[in-house]
Amino acid sequence: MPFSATTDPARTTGAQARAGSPAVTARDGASSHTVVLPVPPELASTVLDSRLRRLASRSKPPDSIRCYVEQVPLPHDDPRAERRREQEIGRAVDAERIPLRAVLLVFSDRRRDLVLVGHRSRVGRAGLGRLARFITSACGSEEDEYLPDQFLTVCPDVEQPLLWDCERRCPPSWGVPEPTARGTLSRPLPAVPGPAGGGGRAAVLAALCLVLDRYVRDDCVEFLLLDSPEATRCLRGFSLAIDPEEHLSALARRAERRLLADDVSEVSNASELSNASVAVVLSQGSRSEKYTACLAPIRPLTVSWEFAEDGTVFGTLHADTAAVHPRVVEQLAGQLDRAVRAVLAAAEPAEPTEPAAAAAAADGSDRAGGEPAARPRGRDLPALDPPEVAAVLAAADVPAPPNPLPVSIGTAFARIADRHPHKVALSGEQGDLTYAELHDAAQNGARVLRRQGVEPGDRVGICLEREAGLVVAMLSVLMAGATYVPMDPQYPSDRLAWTAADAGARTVITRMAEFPGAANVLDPDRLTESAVPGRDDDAGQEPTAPPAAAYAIYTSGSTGRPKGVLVPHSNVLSLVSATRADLRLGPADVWTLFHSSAFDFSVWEIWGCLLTGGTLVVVPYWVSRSPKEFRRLLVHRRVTVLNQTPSAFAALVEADRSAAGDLSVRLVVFGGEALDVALLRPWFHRHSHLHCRLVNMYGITETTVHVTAQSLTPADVAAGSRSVGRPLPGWRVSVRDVSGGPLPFGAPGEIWVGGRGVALGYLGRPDLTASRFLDDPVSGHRFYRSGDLGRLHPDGRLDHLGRIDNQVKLRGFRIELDEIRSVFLEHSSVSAAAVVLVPGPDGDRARARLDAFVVGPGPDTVPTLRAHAARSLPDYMMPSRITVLGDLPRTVNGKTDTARLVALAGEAAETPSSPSGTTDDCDREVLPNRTGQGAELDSDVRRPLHRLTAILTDLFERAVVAEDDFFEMGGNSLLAVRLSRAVEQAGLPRFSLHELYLNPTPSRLASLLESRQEVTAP
Amino acid sequence: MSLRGRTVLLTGAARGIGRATAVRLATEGADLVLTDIGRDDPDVPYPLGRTDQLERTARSCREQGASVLTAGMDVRSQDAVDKVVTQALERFGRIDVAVSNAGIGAPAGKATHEFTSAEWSVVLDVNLSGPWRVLKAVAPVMLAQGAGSIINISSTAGLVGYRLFATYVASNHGLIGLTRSAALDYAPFGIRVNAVCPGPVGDDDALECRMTAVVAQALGLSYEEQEAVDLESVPTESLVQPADVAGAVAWLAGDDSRRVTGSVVTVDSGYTVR
Repeated sequence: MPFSATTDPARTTGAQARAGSPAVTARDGASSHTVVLPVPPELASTVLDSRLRRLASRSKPPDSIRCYVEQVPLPHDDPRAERRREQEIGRAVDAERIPLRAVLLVFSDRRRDLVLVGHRSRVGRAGLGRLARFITSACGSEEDEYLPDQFLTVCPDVEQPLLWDCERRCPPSWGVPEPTARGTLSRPLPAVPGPAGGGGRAAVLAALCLVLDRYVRDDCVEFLLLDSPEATRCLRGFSLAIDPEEHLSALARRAERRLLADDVSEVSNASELSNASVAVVLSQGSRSEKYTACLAPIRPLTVSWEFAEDGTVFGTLHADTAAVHPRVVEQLAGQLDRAVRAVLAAAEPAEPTEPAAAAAAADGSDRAGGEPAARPRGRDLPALDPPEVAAVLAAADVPAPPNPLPVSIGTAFARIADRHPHKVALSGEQGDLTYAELHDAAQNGARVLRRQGVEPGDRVGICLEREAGLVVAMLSVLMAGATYVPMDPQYPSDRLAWTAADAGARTVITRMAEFPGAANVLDPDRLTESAVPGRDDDAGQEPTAPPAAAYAIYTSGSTGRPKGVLVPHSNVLSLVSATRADLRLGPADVWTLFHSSAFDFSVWEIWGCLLTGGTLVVVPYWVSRSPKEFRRLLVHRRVTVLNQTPSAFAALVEADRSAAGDLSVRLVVFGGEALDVALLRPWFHRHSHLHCRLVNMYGITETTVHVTAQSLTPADVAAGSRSVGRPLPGWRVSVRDVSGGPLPFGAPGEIWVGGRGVALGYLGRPDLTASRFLDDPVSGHRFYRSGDLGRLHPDGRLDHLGRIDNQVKLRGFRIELDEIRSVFLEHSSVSAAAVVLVPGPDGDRARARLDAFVVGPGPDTVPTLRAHAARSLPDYMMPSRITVLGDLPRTVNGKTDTARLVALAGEAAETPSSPSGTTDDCDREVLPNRTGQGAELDSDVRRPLHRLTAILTDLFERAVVAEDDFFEMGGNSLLAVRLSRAVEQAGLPRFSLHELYLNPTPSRLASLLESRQEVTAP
Repeated sequence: MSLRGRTVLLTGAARGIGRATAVRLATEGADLVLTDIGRDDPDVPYPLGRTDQLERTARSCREQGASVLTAGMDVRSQDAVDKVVTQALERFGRIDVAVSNAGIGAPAGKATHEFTSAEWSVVLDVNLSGPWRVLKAVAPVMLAQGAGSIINISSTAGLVGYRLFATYVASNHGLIGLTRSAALDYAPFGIRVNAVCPGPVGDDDALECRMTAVVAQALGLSYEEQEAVDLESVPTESLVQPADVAGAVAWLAGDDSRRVTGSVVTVDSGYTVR
């Protein structure tokens, strides 16, 4: 080996071994800090030189301090001299060899700057300042006697938790970096006047929490805090729960209390936060010294604030651009500036700090009085200023292609049929139909419908299995100027009846002998079997004035009855126009009609194919349910364009592993549900993305099938990409907070979709339409609120993070079910997975649990899987059970059937060995008392401490001891309310939420209540 | 400013290609550790880089805003090289780029068998073993950093033969071999190793560049005769200037060449293409 023993090659392999990435020095940079001080002109060089020389010669161990005097042949204010200074400031020192470097820069105009760089483990902020002032002091005598030890100390607690492994660090999910980005970035914040005497410390932390709360969907905002670097115990975790309803002044006070709560447990918190992605450095300084708190970010995002004697606040953002996008940093800077100003203004002691007012403020109530304008709350602070709002809106607003659209689907189809009359348009079990034949059949069908009394604008039900007649029927309805309402014959009959009635469909085209509740039932064969005379354009009763509805598809809402989404012709035509060029759709393509007509993925299959001249192969229902048969069909019919839900594709990938025969598929489009790229791994083992392109498309029925498109490569799989891509041309996307305000890049929020795909609304549901489809006052555009959770990249790509309501709450923890699912999918043996929240008996939320279902592994791998999951999931996210299934139950639309899984989980809970698969049941037992403090509880069962621990044990369903922290156990404000109610019922005195914050352990809360008991109940 | 925040160690920096390279890297924002031998050597028949020349280079670099550390260093001594690397680390905390530019063009002007053992050894020791010693000292630093660029200044004499220059040609061919092997050794660790091969370089008073004169002297020609021969040999009809070589080094030093390793960049006015 050509490498010396001093380096471990394993540490330098992989991603970070790239040209220019300063791996080792990143650590030194994070621990180095710098002070720059101008040297007064009257100080003689000889004095200065001898001070520096003595500093170097007395360093312990010898030679651990280096002093340099450098002539800079440039005037002090020359830009090149400025660069020279900046470079000097940014040069790290290393802890072992040279913990302190002093550089005296002597400029050509005789001005001088002293640059001191120190390692934080040896010299703190104040020490650096003292040393700098000592060296440059004009009045010092030549015999200044000092020892470097006076300035250099060892701060052991600082170093250890600061050490973070560059390779294993967790980049923040909201950082949305460019995949190839690297390097660091420092961005100063504008100086802000603050209260003298360090009063601004809590205010800036409160402001940071407010801002970070937009980026983390968690109960608490937490970060590493490096406060007052001179103290021996200065590194700790800091966390604060954010409630947007809280007044800023109350928030600042809460931050202050948190900051002052200087107990030992805070220090141990720091190591728990060893993966924190944000660090904060607070320091006390002087306006004459220029201080740089770190030369490389301590964590991917590091915020340093220095407070001058007069209270002025100097902030700087330091970021690792491999983890945080520079645009995110830029937007964070703007938000922080506004938030710091707002909190400082609100925290000004204009109002008396009377306890009642403070308590009321902490409760978030208005009782303390004051006008709302004078007492701003967190929610009053807009995330972005107008230019940034414009920027986030523009990033995901893709202009439509300039092509004029045909007036209707029928006209567009007629045009294609004119161009390729003899090409096969539809291919089914009964034979093929050419474009000309299909056109004529539909024209005839339209005339039949008109004879039946169907008027333009009417809605006509279509309840057919996948067959050629289904497409003829759709086209006939459209050509008759009516709107089709597709229904799946597999649906229960009362749902069919309800749908037809709700849609006002007087005519239903179906093969069912009797259609529940329909006035007029028409067999699809009647559309074609009797030729109805008439001119070609006779059926041309088609809409001439968009936006006429082409179809109404019923989607099931999370609550109540399904609702009909009215989609106009122009939306479908825009969709085809937006995708045709990029996906290179054309007459050479063969598509499948795989999905139920009641699922809007089929809208894409049918019209994406027929309006670009392709051949549509109708997949019979029984083939669509058998992955093996379906794959055989793909080979046999030389299908080139395949559209699949990820769940169905997972099954196809399984079948593909062992099947013979070459696929001709050149394009796979994913839609209908969220795609976890991990499931593509086995596919890419067999198929190159260069021959078969995989495109993940995010969309919703209400926005016409698709909204965004993202091509997927093995690199995306490796990176675990959650991107669904940029909006299609003509579509726009925006990510909003709960009150509809645009969120910055990287921050998760509700996905709003606008542009050419937005449906007309819900049929006959004006209130629901008004609540989901809205004219956005911010952008002036019409948007549909999707209820999906997403985040935007600066380049306009969207990450899909699941349904907003897929976030569940369990014992106070907010849990994203999709996150748990992803962990299981990472395991090589798992081809599909689902995680559900199973409610406790009688809907008791406190006894709810998580169940995981996996497809792929053998039953004996469950313990392995559990161990695998436990490596990445916190305890509270570990499923209680892992069940292996042969396949995941799917809905009629091919999506994972969560309701069935919840039911399965319920059955499994009742029978010890599940009939549906292998279950690994490991409901946790109550932990034994960890600290042995239980003994003292027995002295008096009526003492508050005993009752409190009992109540908390009930609440958290685990043993709670006197020193357990309510919030660390997962407590939140809701649980606090339950706690307070229980405490009251137990006959104990009342306490407020902020008292709980201050006394979060049973023992502290008990002493508080005891003291109160003595007063109130003598 | 593609090298902002980077530290470069450059040997043979007193004059000529070394000085042009130092100033160019300074304008790109690099900080510099500049070395030259700083004294003449009885085994080398022409004056070597002097300390005052090295300080002149340093001053030109400082005028660009660079921070510069200078050191007298003989690349024939591993101790001397190690010491400079330690000083560089103390001062700058890192070494991102090492340019081995120090080299001697003579003793030369003899048929291969006529060289004495001492003449053979001194050229090999400076031109081939010198860059190896620099690499030996900086590679551990760069391995720890996970990144680095090592640039060896070879010559067209590393690509083709020259009559009466066996010492020089052999050492420069060897340097290209060293470059290629080292490139493979360190490629997985983010360290790139490349060579630059200048052709006949024109003398330049401002840079105190005297290469043509040295060659002329070795061959017993006048300066004008040598220059005429050189001009005759290059298709571009103009000799390579030190700044041309500096441009190639600046590219190899920076991230624009991040996927370039083990390569030989020829800057020779087309000398070797025919």
